[in-house]
Amino acid sequence: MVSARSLRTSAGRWRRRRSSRTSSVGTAILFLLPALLVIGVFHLYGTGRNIYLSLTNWTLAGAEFIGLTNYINLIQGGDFWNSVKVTFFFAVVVPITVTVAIPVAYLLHYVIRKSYLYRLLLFVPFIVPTVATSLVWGLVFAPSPTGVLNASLQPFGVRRQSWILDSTGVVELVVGWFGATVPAWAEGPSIAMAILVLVRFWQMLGFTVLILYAGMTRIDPDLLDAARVDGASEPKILRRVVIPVLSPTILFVVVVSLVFALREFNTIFVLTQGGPARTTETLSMLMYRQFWGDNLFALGAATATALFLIILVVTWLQFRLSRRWVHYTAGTA
Amino acid sequence: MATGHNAPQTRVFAHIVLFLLCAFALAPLYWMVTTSLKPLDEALLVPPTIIPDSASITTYIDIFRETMMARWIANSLFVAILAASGNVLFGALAGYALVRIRFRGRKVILMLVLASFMIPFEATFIANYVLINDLGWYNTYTALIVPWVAGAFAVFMFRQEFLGIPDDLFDSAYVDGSSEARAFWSIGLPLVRAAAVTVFLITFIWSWNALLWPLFVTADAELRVVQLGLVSFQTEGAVFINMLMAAAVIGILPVGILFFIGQRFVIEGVTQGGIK
Repeated sequence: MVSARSLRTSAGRWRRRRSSRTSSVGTAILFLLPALLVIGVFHLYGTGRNIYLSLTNWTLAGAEFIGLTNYINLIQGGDFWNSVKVTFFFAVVVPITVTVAIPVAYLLHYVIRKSYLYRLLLFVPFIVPTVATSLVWGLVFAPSPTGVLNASLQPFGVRRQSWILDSTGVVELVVGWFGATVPAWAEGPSIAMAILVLVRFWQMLGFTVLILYAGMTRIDPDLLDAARVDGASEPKILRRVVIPVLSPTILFVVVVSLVFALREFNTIFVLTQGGPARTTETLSMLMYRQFWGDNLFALGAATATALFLIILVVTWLQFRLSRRWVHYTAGTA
Repeated sequence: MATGHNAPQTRVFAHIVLFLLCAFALAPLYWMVTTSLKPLDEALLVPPTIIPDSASITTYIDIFRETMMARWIANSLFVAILAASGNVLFGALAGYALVRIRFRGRKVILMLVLASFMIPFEATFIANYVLINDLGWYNTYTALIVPWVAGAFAVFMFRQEFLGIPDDLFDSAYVDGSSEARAFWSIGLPLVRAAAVTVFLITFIWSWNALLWPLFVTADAELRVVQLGLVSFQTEGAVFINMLMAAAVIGILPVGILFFIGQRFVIEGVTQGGIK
């Protein structure tokens, strides 16, 4: 992804006519060849071939072109729409994380003098391998009596919970406390999914804070001083001055985190494998199951293409909608 | 001023909030390390002990003695070092060519590189799996390494770096009449060494953390990378939680060490490239 800084660098690049001799195209090709070969074959051709495979009835025996049949099967089956819903449930973590991260970045940049250690420690969960940390979270939320939470809560008389095996919807649970019931479509994300969102929040908070912090270092300090002289309170300065000026950075971090979230595999694979009752089976988990579990190769390719299209559309939509709330140029130093 | 961003009570409040958040960030890792040091009976205690009564590293010794962990770490190191080195070398070469050499189609190539940036890798895995099979690379190191020895992130990062370097710095090489390859090697590359460290660290971490692609293209236990090894621990020995946590610590260690050595480069790279 392109950050604000790198865009600026390319805009203000060296204008003078390059002093290089008319180097041969041959040299350029030689220099570019290894990178272009890998990117061309495994990324671009891979994407194209995936789309082609999704239009066939490809099995181990061979492939025959069958048009959009896989996509029609996908849309008519229940698994796909369940996975679309579940994928977006998981993506809810992005607005939650950004909402928490903005005031945290503000504290780090404007209130604390030496914040490097805090930034470093908050960043640690992002850098450590997700498989390893998901294993710990798996122990914390293990349904067994020795699971960390179950074992810790037992002395307080809390009954053993199923945590990551609990498919009860969050809405269903809350409504249930009042003795009411909800229809199946309104149950909301399962408790297992809520736990995945919490784990994801834990992984991503430091990263989000760091990007927003970097954005704040580019804000003209005079802007804030002027607001302070006018007697504005800190929360008001954050809301009225910092957030509007920071909006391009906020958009950037939302777009990047959303793409990560829509694609995420490792955390879900280690913690729930898509269960219980498919309430955590995101599109990437569905693709994995279709391919490896059910041997529905071409259908898996169709799911992969659908995931790719969803990510493209979501990213495009964000840039469209951002025109309403993102303010470029104003107030950056 | 009694209130405001530099009032003492505001700062105390900020420290409390940040301290709690850091505790939240580190608690699972603390739990991972302490559990790995406990003997099994203590690890399974209800309620759990927060500070281990008896700490020892016997679990770690057991892991290396009884499983192929050493092999898996060697595999991951081998794959990650080659992938990261490839990204640095090929990324720098391509970035250099895109900035320093004028040729037709430069814009088109840049657009293609940027387009590949938008593609989620997961969407290519099934097609790439077929290709790997056709090439006869299934269940080989080649399959783990070759698709990852170059990427749009590195190319773009180096392109941006070379754009920021004034032409004058290259003039001496041209006066000498030395080749483009020489100019790249003796002038270009040293000038972008900070970006090279960043690209190396970030692509190393990506490679080290990869799980889905190794799941697709390897089958033998001898070829497992660390992340796959960790998953196999989870399924094969779920009861031995001290061992599971020790394995997790081992899986984190190399990346942890690299991160603390090169923290400023990683943080810089993430902030600028904004990418995991």
